[in-house]
Amino acid sequence: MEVTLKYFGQLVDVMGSHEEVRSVKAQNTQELLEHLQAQYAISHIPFQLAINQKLVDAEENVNLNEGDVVALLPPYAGG
Amino acid sequence: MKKVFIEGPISSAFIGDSIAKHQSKTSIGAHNIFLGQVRADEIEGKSVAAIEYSCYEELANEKLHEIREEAFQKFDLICMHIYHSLGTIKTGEVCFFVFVSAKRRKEVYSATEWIVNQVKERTPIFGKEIFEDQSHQWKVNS
Repeated sequence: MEVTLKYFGQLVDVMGSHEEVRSVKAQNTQELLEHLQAQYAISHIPFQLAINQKLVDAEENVNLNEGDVVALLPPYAGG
Repeated sequence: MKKVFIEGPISSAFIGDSIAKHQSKTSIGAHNIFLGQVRADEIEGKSVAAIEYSCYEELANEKLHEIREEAFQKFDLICMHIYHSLGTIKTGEVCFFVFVSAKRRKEVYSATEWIVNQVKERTPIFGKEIFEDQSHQWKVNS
């Protein structure tokens, strides 16, 4: 299925873009993370996921659907 | 939805205008303002020259809306404004402006502190600290 991935902060440096549409075999967030970690050196960066603007708890494994927007959010630094 | 994000630094003129706009709201008896300024932190012998702010704007606006609603429930406020910069903000420039108004002074102190903390904790804003030699590191709120 195709999902839109949005990268922020340090992840923009590592992934080389802010956003991409990616065709993935992953059916859930855990498989998606495994897929990304296998290709990119992101394991050392702490981040949280948001799917369609809803934050996902760290221990939660959420099923993905065609067209989902998955954001990878490193620690916030506003203010 | 109130506009929060401003491209570039928040100027003294903008802050002054915001204060002036409240002169017609005569039920207000107390304002409180928090201004966040970009600090020239020294990190491993290099000093920060600027912070480049970016955000996940859709989610940030949603979170800021929640913070705003909760602030009005929690505190007896007449109005409140939050502004945050995006883009490159040099040291010494203002990047964060919280402006809280109430009937009396007691509410505005606690409300301001609460809002500032919530924005820092809950809003997906990211900061790239750019050093004088143009190298950078990603800021993490302490």
